[in-house]
Amino acid sequence: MMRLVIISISIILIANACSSKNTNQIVIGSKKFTESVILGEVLTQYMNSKDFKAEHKSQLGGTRILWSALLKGEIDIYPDYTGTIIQEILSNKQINTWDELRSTLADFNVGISEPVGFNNTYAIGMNKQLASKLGISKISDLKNHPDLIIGFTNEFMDRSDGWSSLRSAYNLPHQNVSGIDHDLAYKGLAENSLDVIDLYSTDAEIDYYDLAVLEDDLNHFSEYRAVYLYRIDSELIESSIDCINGFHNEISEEEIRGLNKLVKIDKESEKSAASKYLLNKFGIRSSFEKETFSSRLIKNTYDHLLLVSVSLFAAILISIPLGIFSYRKERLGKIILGSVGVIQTIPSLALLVFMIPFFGIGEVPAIAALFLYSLLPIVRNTYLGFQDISIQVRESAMVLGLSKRAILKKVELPIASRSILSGIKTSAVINVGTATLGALIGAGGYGQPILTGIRLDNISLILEGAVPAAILALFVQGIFDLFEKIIVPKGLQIKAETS
Amino acid sequence: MIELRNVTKYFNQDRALDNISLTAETGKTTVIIGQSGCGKSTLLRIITGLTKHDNGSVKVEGNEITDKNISEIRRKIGFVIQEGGLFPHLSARKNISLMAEYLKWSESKISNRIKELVTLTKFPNEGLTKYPVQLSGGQRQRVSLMRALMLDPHILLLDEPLGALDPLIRYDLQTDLKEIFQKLNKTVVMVTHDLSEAVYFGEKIILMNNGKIVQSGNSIELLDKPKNDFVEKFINAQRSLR
Repeated sequence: MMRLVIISISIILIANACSSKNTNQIVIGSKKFTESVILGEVLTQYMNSKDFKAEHKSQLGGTRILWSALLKGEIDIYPDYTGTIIQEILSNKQINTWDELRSTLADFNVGISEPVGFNNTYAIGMNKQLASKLGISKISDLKNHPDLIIGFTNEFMDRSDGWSSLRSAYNLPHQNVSGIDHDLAYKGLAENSLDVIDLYSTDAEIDYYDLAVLEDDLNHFSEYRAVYLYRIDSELIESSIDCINGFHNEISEEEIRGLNKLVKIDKESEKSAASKYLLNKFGIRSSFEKETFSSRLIKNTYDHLLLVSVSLFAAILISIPLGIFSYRKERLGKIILGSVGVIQTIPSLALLVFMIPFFGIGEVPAIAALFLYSLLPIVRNTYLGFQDISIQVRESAMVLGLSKRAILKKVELPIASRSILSGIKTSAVINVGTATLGALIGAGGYGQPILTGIRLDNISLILEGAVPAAILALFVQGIFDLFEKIIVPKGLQIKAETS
Repeated sequence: MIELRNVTKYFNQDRALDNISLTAETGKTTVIIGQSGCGKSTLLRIITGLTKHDNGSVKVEGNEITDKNISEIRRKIGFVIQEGGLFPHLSARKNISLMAEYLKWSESKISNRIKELVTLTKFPNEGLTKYPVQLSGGQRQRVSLMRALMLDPHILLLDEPLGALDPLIRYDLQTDLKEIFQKLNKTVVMVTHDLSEAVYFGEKIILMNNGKIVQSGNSIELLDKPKNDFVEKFINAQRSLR
């Protein structure tokens, strides 16, 4: 048992050591939608052109992940919106003025930059043709058309300024309202399966799909001015404050919509869009590494293998002894099997988010989450493998006079090896799939292109992650089939000649 | 020699063994017979330390068995059980040699001993490389016997060794076993529910019922002078099965 504890502690220590970041580096995060990635990239390239060393951890997930990563010091800066900060992050505080916002954030050791210019507020949009046919131009006009099919983003459904408060503010009668991904909502609108969606006022798609943005005639939506949030307890960030405020009122709604379009519609990378903007606006020639297909594939493969192999290896080290222990101590064993079973029922995304307070963002929390997911199949199969050993075999070994240790090594483990190996195989294959979610908290891997592909509606990018992940899963399966032939004793692999 | 004095064993509230005293003498074959559930297997398990008795004394070769000396005592005992309990992942040869290897016997010593055992048990040489699933029931029991005899123990315990075999194979093995017991001159304790088997092997037969010894002595005493109604009934029931 002691050895178990030592092993787990050393794994955590090693994992933490790997994650400690370079102190001279400024880490900029961004959320998993295009505009946030562009804002993150613009500031990153700008800072690098001003002789700071900035690194961009792009598309890390939603507000909660970025905010906790900032508080933990995993990232130093990230772009957000005043409305999001007030309504979501500080929703339990009363904030009415800019100064109140600034001082409340300071309580968290967080600073806020000057607004960069545009206001990306929520808006309600629909097809221009349909809107003019029904004579709808304001949100309050929707009241007279209760049959319209509405699709709102899941975030908008849940937000305090979202659907429920909008409905009561405008007294809307609609029943046909469902939650949907933002990028899919535009498609639904184009295909006429949706009539009304929520949008951001800077979305590139507004022009592209020729949409009518309904007037918020009761001023329901608050302002969503883009700002950068940064840590104020670091000298390095303190010295870069002019950079962070360098975009004060510089980016207009039209400009950001153009940048969004460049990426989403014209399929340029965020890096190149940001670089073009800096060149046009400030005459800054920023440099950024161009990624080729093969360089991306190599990096993603490396990241993915790291996530899967480290988590699986740690899980094997812990789970096999845990499975044996569960078999030996029946009562405690039930608790152990129950607990690892419960872990399995936590949705993967939730488990990833739970890991952030302990491990921050990046590979370590992803590895920790994957490790936890790998436990059940191995613990359970080890337990079952031991349980399946007949009492006669076990007693024969004891009566021969073998020590407990020798029985474990020479009799029990070899006989249970097939079951244990198949548990490890199950864990490995599940891990390869689940690891794709690691990209949501900055762990990289095959999930990275999948995430970007979904965001940009780019099938080839999605395949760039999904196909290697599937191949890797098959490969892992093949490797373990081979292991089984080598490791499982021959006597257990042959079939009886006579019945 | 094995000596039990006033041994009692409870399973929860049930008395599985009730004040049992018996002696299995060196060089003789003692057969314990009784219906299933009478406590005869529990008796063997107590001698091997697989089950602990609640009261009384159990001496093997003059030594009281304790947690400390149980490993040592087990090496003086060969144990053969009904289904053989062979290790499914090891070849017949490895099954036989496992304990000797654990005790770091030399390869040549192991080979020589296995050669002796193969001759003794009339086991086909080519069967040594096979795995338990590839062997017949009778062959499995012969391997189990070789495994039990590998360290040349003073005592041989057999728990229904012929129980799961077909009649013809059973007959062969029965004949061979008797020959082996006579050759080896060891303390043999065999458990069975079959009266003819008990009579065939037993120099001393102990009949048990409900955790108690009902009668003990040689076969003639048992068959001719049944101590009470139960013994008579038991003998007649088994005879009528013939």
